[in-house]
Amino acid sequence: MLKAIVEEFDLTHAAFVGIRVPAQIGHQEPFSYLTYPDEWQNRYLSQGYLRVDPAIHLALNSILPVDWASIHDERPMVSRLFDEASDFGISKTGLTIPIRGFNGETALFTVTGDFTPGEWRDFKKEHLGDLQLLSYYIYQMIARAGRLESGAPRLSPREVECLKWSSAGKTYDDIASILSISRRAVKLYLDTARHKLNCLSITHAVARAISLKIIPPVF
Amino acid sequence: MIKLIRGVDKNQYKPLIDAMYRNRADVFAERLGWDVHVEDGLEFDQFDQANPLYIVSVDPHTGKYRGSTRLLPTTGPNMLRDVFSCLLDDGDEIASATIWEGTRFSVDPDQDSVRSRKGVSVVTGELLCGAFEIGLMAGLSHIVAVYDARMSRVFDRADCQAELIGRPQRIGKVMTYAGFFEVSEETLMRVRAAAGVTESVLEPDLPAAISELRAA
Repeated sequence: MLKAIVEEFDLTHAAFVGIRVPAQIGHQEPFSYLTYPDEWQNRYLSQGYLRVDPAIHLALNSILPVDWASIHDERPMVSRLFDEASDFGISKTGLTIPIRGFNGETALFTVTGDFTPGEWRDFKKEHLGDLQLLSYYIYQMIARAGRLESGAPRLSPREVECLKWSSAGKTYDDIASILSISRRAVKLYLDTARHKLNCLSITHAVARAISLKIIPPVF
Repeated sequence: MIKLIRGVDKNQYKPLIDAMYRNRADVFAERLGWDVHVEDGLEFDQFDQANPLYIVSVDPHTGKYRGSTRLLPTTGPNMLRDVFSCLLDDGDEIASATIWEGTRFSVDPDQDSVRSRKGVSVVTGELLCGAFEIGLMAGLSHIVAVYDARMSRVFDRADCQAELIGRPQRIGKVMTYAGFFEVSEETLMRVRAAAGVTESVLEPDLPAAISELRAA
């Protein structure tokens, strides 16, 4: 499929690397699909280039794509990496797109091509959106293969009740009175409900609970 | 002037980030009375830990914080999906690699008095122009936002009114809307015109990771 992408966009290579993906499909090393020649892949691994590759490191923590032209890393190992890559036919004109997964997982999609600076500028302008979509599509295909469905948080009946009354605008004291429990207990249930819903405020927790259909919507 | 700060680099920009959190506490907790989490006068939430891209307006001469907003990809954790999905129609979701979410739009009132002819403040104009510039640089199709009536009026004045999606809901005491903007040269031009901006608002020394994405 990567070869089709390379052809369609008139590139020279494409590479998908999964880093920090759901544990059940990750391996010790980030898994990858690449069009790079085998000899280059072997060289890349044996030289430990993954640790040095600035495109990877910049893109890993970004939400914006990394244009290789913006990399100004003078370290000898990095120069060696780029020079050797070009020996293997991988041009220095490239783009690494970070992919943000459902729970914040990170994967990277790289494309390289033989473009003049003007052509490259036009290419990016025209195709960056498409490439963003493609990268994510590839990621989803892979992630779907191994992802466990995460269930909605289970709230206890008391937690649900307290959230419901809270969503209706009742104070802690009101809720305590309605449910015949102490005010402190109300606070406890609302706190634990919040924690289960991974929210820092009751308003967030209420909104989240509504969206997860744990409590009915507010009108 | 707009500075771009990645979530993972927050510690390198502590004074600006703290100023941002204080501004957010002031705007959302104090002035709007929203139910947000404030600690030591600083407002932050779980999405600040999701490595967002912060768009921060600073005084071009002093570097002082003036306002900010943050962007998150809709493919990962975001407010519309994880907190406010009740605003969307049943089963609807916004998750696309070309759609990012903008949230926590806040401006320091002490730093922000000058307005354009259309009534858009300098900082607001900068933040909106910055967001659309970045959207174009990243190849985005849309930016989504969860907002209130106050922000809706800001968008109106800036000539970039959001298109509503789903159903508005009253959450707590706030009538809340979900909407989206198209990311296009046209939108950027309209916002620039309303804001009286004639050129890029982004800092000249953009972080290496994005400087080459700038359009010609």
